Amino acid sequence: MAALCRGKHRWRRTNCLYVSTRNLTGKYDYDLVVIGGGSGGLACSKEAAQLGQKVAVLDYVEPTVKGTKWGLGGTCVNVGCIPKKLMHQAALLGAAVKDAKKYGWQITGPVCHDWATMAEAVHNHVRSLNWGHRVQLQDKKVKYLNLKGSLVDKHTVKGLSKAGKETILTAKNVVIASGGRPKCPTNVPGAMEHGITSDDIFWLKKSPGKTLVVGASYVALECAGFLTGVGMDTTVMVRSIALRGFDQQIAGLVTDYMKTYGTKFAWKCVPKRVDKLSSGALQVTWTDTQTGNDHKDTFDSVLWAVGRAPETKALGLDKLGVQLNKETGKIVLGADESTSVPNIYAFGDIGEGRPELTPTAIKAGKLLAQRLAGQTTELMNYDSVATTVFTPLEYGCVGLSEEEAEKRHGKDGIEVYHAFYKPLEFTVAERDASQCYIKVVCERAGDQKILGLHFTGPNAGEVTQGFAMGFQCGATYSHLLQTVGIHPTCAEEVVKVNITKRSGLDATVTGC
Amino acid sequence: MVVSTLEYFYLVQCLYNGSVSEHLLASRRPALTVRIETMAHYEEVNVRGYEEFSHAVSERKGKDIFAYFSGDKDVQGKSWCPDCVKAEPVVRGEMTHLPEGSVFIYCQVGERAYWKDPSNDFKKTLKLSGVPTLLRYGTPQKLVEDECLKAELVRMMFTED
Repeated sequence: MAALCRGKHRWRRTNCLYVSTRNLTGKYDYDLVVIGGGSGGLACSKEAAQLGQKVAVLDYVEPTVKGTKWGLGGTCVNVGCIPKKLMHQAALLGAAVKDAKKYGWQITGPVCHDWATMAEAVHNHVRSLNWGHRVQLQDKKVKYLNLKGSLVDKHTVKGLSKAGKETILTAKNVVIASGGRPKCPTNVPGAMEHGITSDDIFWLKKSPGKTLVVGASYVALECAGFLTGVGMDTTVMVRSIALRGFDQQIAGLVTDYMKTYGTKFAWKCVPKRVDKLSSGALQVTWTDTQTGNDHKDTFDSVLWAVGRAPETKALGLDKLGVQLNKETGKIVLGADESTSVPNIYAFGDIGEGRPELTPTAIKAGKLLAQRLAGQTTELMNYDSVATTVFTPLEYGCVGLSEEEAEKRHGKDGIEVYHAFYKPLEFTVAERDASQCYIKVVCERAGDQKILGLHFTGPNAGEVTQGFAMGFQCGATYSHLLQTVGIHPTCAEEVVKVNITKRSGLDATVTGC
Repeated sequence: MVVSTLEYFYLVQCLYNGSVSEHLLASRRPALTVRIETMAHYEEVNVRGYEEFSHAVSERKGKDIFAYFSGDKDVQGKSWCPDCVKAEPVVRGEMTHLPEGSVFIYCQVGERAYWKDPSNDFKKTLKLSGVPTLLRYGTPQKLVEDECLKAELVRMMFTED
């Protein structure tokens, strides 16, 4: 029989499974095999299947050190956006209950938060999303395999089951969308054994108690934010600056607000070691880099939020010569999501220089599927992507930070309009609004094209989304002036912004 | 070749049951009749209304329970819910794939008027949004309305964790 086959034909022997890598016509098992069943992988595989391709998606979750694992859907659904926003909402509701009294609600006695109740509700929702994704894959005829995928060669993917059984699949094209995982410091004794990461925090059945959050990324600040909001004694340990990559003036407003609302900050400090005490509590020793002195304190939990990295080693990419960025470990990509190896593509969090966001991964995945099926030549546009940081004071932005705009156009080439405003709802509630702020960075000349828009305040995500469309259409400051505000809202202050930083005038909005 | 009634009995039992009852092997008493045991490796329960459903569930704590909710059938055995009529043979067709030891509850929810009332127990407590609904009790796994018409989805629910 082997003599009848044209081309290279191998019988591969794997644990209990003989699979022919080429059938008689030389076709592959699949048109497309996607490694990773997260936001990007699912969008790409479903789109490809809808376009008539034979697709398989491999999704596998390597449990954390603490043993946490989850179902289909990737980081966003299980240990990212979704549980984060729900817990953020839990914290906001706590604050709202306090405000409610001022609005006339008769709330007798203190209102306490039960972690277990929140956790169960969040888990139930996440599990319903896992199921929803499973149904969608089946319905759209995508073959789903709960296997850990790695590359054997550019047309062959190996899937490893939990029990160690191997399955081999061949594919015309392979897409890597396996995302990233939280990093854990390797130079801090006790960090890995005693600490947790964002992969664990959302699945804790019991309250994390007094928590030290190490890091100042949006992951660190968002987690510290909701932990404080539901009543935990929370400290954020920052090595240098907060929200690196974001507008630093706004980052300061965000952390100032968090401080006012009870989150403690240990600035310019680095953890040295973590020890577990006989009581079960964790003792953290850290160095204040400004004084050089060491300090100690005990916590119930230590949450490492010091960055994310992909598991590229486990993918077997080095064997195939797929070019990686040495520093980040991420895959170097072309504008069409191609890697250095033809027919191997990658996108999402694993791509070097790509935003680590669900909507960009979804869109990029769909476009890639369409390109691979020959339906389009359109490339993903990664510019002008709006985002929001869901800290207690939310921060929404689209476009450039002030410092980036200054770098590109020079201080004299930009005009910065800004305003400090007070949400109407804060007045009766007697809430401090000193960090509610709007900044519109524009080109100084001509119609003053908007280069960046920044908003801190309640519902920042909802406010920013609409302006992102204007940004996409090339909105200018004159467009903003022509837009009539909706009253009374916080968003209207964006279209009313008129004081420039250059003028030096007081930017506080005064009444209607 | 079957040479005695006893052997024939064991053979039939083997074929249908997958095993031979140890008691009979031990006793070796010749059977006078051929007893064909049921093929089912799951328990099927028929209930009507929310109370009967809750009762059936509470009596089977710890078991893997699948529940299929349908509009009431009339005396001719036809439901007022057209999708339920279409889905039932599809669901029944996949029941051989039910896990070993599981329970399948066939629940008639009530008349059309009862179902349309948004405050009925099924909608309020079980959070059902439509009939037919096929769900795995205590888990977020469920198939609603036209999803129940798809055999592969039903099979997926019965066979995957």
